[in-house]
Amino acid sequence: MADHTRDPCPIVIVNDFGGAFSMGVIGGTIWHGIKGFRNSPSGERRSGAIAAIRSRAPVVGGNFGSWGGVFSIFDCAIKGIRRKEDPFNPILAGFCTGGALAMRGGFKHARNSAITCGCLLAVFEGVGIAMSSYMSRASKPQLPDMEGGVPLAA
Amino acid sequence: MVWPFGGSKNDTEGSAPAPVTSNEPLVVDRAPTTSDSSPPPSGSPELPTFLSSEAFDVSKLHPLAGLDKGLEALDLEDDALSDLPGSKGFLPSRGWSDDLCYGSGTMYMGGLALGGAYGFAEGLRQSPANAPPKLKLNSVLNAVTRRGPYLGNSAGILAISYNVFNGLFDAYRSYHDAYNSVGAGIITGILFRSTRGIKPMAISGALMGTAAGVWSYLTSAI
Repeated sequence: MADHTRDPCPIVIVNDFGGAFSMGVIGGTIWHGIKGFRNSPSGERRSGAIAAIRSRAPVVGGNFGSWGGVFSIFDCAIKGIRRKEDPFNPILAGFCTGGALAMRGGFKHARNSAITCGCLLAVFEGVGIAMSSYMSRASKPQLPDMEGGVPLAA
Repeated sequence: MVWPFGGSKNDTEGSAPAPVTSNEPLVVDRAPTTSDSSPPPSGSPELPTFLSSEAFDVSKLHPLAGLDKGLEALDLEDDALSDLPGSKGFLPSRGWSDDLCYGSGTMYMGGLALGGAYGFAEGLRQSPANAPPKLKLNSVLNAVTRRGPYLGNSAGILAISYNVFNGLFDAYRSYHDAYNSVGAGIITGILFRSTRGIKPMAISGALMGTAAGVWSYLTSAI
């Protein structure tokens, strides 16, 4: 199950942090650019868009980045403790991440957020497994076409 | 998944033959023709002693394989590396997206840690000396979450735009050199202060260009 396209564990945290941060910044630029453009009075649309991007896009990036980085930290820690890789690692890591990031909202908030994140990751993992088994159905080995006991291709 | 922490230390010098606990000298039978009739000593050599340093000295297994270096997380496969001319430097890279992720991740985490440390000190300083610990904790947390993300976000977006422009220049010129880095740094600095006026733009562009030049000199010189 090991994913060899990714780097080994402690280093991949930096990669995940940066990837999630970049994704958040670029997505936040588009999102808040459009939002700032639409919400500004005509004549100030460009400056409104730029101001919205300047103030909001890094925050979106930071939120994405902290989620991805904390998730990756928990993922690595869980892998190190369990010494195996299966779909339960991301689910547990998502649970811990949701709880850790909502910790300042109190126990109830943290618990609800942890359960939500765990369920979300469980859905992601389930969809991923379903997709990969659906994709690999096309390349399932098939019985050769036999006629009179002799394979036609042979 | 390879776990680089722990577990790999006992191949080289960590597993020097475990001390045999019995006091009598251990009978070492090197010639197989003579039969050793004496029963094995009570603290008989166990597996680690049996697989002594001669048997598993990894540096002697294959001298060219570099097994004695241990696990190196920064070693990438050669064919996975970026084949852009001039891009082979101190840090291995698979291409611009790898650079982008690692660059922004490093800068963001570094900025977060620096700003967080500053905010920690600030929060401790600002809370009254005789405040209860709960108030102190709240003050520290507030200061950390104000300073840390601010510095981290700024450093992170600088790294993102530097890497994006650097990758664009590399792709456009099909070659990587220090001019690409410095140019990307200057454009990044100008963009970063583009709402403050001409003079701050020039200052920040010059600063970022210098930083990019120093960085590309360092990565190519080492």
